[in-house]
Formats: sequence, structure tokens, C-alpha cells
Amino acid sequence: MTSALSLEGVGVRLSGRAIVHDVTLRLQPGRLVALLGPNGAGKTTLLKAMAGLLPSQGEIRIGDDRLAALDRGLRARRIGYLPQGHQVHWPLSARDIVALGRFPHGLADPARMSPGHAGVVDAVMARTDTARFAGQAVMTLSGGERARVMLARVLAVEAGILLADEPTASLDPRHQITVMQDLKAESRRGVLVVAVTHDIALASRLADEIVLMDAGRVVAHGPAEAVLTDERLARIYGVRALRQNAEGEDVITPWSLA
Amino acid sequence: MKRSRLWLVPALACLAALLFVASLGIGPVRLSPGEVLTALTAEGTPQAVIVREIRLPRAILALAIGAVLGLSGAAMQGLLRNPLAAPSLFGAPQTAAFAAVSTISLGWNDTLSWGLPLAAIAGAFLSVFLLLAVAGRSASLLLLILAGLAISALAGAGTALAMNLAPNPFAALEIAFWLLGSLEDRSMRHVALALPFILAAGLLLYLQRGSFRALTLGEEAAESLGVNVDLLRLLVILGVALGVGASVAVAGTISFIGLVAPHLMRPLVDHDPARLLLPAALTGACLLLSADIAVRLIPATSDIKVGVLTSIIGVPFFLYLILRQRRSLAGGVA
Repeated sequence: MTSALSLEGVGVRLSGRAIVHDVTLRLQPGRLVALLGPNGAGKTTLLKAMAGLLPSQGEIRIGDDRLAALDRGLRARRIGYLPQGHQVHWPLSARDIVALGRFPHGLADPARMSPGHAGVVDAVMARTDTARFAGQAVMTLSGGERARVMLARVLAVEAGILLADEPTASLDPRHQITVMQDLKAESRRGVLVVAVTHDIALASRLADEIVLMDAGRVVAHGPAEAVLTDERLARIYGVRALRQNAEGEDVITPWSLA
Repeated sequence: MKRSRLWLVPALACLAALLFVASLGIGPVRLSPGEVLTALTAEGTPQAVIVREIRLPRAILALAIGAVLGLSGAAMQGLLRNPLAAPSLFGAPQTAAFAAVSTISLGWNDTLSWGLPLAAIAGAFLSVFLLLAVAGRSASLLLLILAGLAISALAGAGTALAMNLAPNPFAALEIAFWLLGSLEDRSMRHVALALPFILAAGLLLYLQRGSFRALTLGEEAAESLGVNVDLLRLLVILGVALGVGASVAVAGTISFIGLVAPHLMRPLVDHDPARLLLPAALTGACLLLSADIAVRLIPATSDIKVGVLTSIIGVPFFLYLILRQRRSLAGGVA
């Protein structure tokens, strides 16, 4: 089976400094992958390289195509990228923001959407429960609501790969769970979702696979129980975890300093 | 839900057309709109000479320059995602003027040669390029303003030097008056000199509208949506330079249209940076046509230059914008 996204010996240098070293990964469609690692591990840099936003050494493939060989428009239709921080510079309405996801598909003006584009925008807004504030300016929404609008925006791209950088950062617990569940639901629709996160508990519960990074390298890749061993958590994060089984699910919660 | 206001562009276009006709009718010899229309088609009458040779070039320039300045302001604000961005705050017209003045005082150009707009365009290009290079990718407003201040000051000093070294006091005076910005006594030759560049600038900037909208989400998200942000930045610099440079070459420095026009229109287009472009251009045209009519109506012993009037209205407006954004500016977020 062809991987949705495969990396072969990928390295990234930023202003002369190597941030990511020799990463080799194969990620399949329909999976929710959590990219974990302490601050400065190179998670965001790797994610940007996967999105084609940073030049990298080695080879990144999207399906059978080399990422570097894809033209911008095609790349934009095949990879959805959700940056950190949910930045919005002008107070556009939530629906106009979501409609920006149709830009790679040739939507020029959100005020004049074809039924096809409008159908996608309405569908993703329904899925992320954002249709309620479609007409409101994004800046007037709460952080959690805004995060969901941004998620809807990236879903509107309808790409086979969705890369999200800390989509749950600075959200309250309800919105953290909502956003992660929405990402999970998206993976169940056949999309490969890669999410950078610091939320070990939520990642260990919901992600199908964990990619653990440290000092620019991938240390382990696999199911949560196999990747997040006591030894690795102590060595990489400097923490000891509490392991529980609640409602039939294994949960790993950082508990104390190691 | 507020949707695009379909009446906005036609209404502004009508207003611009009315002001255009009024501009043809106002002056020492007052003409009614009917007389203006007859004069435009008649041959040999004194009215025809007044309207077609004196007032028409002036009105065309006011329309075109106002429009391209409004559009340039909206485009720079879209690129930098900041409502306080405008070519005149960043030293573009000042540098264009310096480049034009230097070539005049060096004797390379007279005020009617093709070299003049080219020099002004090159000056404007250099200033905007330098500005964005100094400010870097993230382009915080503080950096932009400081870099713009430095560039304006340098261009001002250069212009002062050119005047200082002028061969005679009359040449210095001519430069000084030209710098004030005026549309008086312009001919079709001036129109021919500036219009091609202004049209190119307008087209170039207008074609980037979709990218400005995508930039609402920041540069990375825009890149991920397929926008080539580096190319966009270069095209906007080029468009602004063409528009501002050509305007300065034939009319001197006319400031603040690029700041005021987009600001007036932004609430009417629901803050959409793409839908803003056309209304901002039309508003710019209306503002400059009105200012150029006003300088002919204000009783004064000596002619008030239109560039002086736009600055006198524009600077307090700029202060008002700063006041309104005081909180976010004080926070250093910008």
C-alpha cells in the first residue's frame, strides 16, 4: 500500500543550524498521528517541512509524488496546513474565513460562491459545529470558537493530508477534546491527520500512532503504549507518568518529575 | 448576515464621474455640465480650449493618480495586514521625488521627458524594497514605521541637497513648488507620461486581490493555500512603485490618499482586503478630484497646492487612526 506521506532521510536547516536530522517515516491514510516531543525538539519545523513550507534535505513524498516536484496549486490542494496560534488579521466573518479553504480550488470571492464551494463550506461548518456563528466576525469569537473556525477552514481544503500545529494549545478542556475528536473524525474519513501537541494524555487516548521526537530526531514511532515508555518519558520529558485504564481506554498522564 | 454591497462600486463610480465633470467646469471661467459636454466635442471655441487643453488633463490626472494612490494604500495594507500601512508613511513618494529632483538638477531630465517617471519609479521601488528588506518577513508596524521614517528622512535630506546645489534660486524654488504636489497647468503630455504606468500599476495590484484575502490568515497559512508570498511581495512593491513613481513624476508628492481612502471603505466591504481594492481606488479618485476642485474654490492670495491640502487633511486623520489604535499600539502587538 502506498503511504499517504513518506519521509526518507529528511533534514531541515534553519539559518545554518540543523534543526531536524535524518527523519524517515511512513504514514498511512486514515490515521490520526500525534507528533510529540519537548519544546525545541523540532516538531513544528518537521511539520512545516512536510507541508512544503520549509526547504529540506532528503525526500518527502505525497503518495507517489515528490513534494518538491509538486507545483504550489497542486500542493495546496493535497496538503491542508493549520498553523499555530489561529492568526486572523482582518475581522472577516467566520464563513468567509472558512471559504478561504476553497482558495486552492479556485474560489475567487467568498461573496459569490458556486453551489459546489458553498456545499463544502457549509458541510465542514456543520461538522465542526461552527455554522452557528457563520456571520460573526472571527475576532469577536472566543478562543475555542475561533480554533474550530480555523479547523473548519483547513477542512474546507478537502486535502488527503491534514497537518495541524498545536491545534489544542491555549484551549479550555472542552475545546481541546472537541478539536481532537474532530481531527479523529476526519482521519476516519480517510484523511491522514498529523497533529503536533503537548497533550500526552489526549494524544495517548485518541491518536492511532505517536511519533516521538527529541533533539531533532524521531526517537520512536508506533502505538502510544509502545512509544511512551517510562524510560523515554523520563529521559526525554523528565517526567514520570501515571498509567490508567478508564472506560476501556489506556490513558497516560504526566504525573510528576522523574 | 451582511453580504457584499452591490451598490458600492457603481455609486462610487457615479460620484467620481460627477466630480470629474465638475472639475472640468470649475475655474476662472465657470461652465455648467451642459457647457462642459458641448466643449468636449466642439472645435475651436474658447470653451473647448479651456476644457480640453487646460482642465481635461488635470481632471484625468486627478482621477488616475487618486485611484492609483488609493489602490496602492489598500494593497500595502493587504500585504502587511495593517490598516496604518501606506506608501507615503514609508517614504515612497519622498524617495520618488528625490530621484526625480536629482535627475532634473543633474540635467539628465526636464520635467517633460520619459526619464522623469522612470527615475521616480526607480526611486519608489528602491524605497519600498529597502523598507520591506529592513523590516523583514514578520514586518511589525514599529519596524516599518521606523524604517520608513529613516528612508523619508534620507530622501528629504537628498532633496534638500539637490535644492542646495541648484544652479540658481529659481531652480530651487521650482523644485520646492513641484514638491508641494500640484495638478495645475498639466498637459496631455503629462497624461501620456504617467497614465501607462498608472494603468499597469492598477492592473498589477488588482490581480493580487485573492492573495491579500488569503494573507488574512498570516503568511504561512497563505503559503499553504498556494500563495507565493515572496513573489506577491515583489509584485506589490513593483505595483506601488509604478503607481507612486508615475504620480510623483507628473504631480509632485501627494500624500495620505493611500491611507485615508482604504480606511473609509473598509467597513463597507466587511473588512475584506480583496473586496476593498476597487472601492479604495474609486474613493482615492474622488478624494483627489475633490481636493483639486477645492484648491480652485478656496479664496487665497496665492494658489494652494493640492498636495498641501491632502496633507493638511491627511495628517490629522492619521493622528486620529493612531488614537483609535492606541491600545493595540501601546501593547506593542501591532
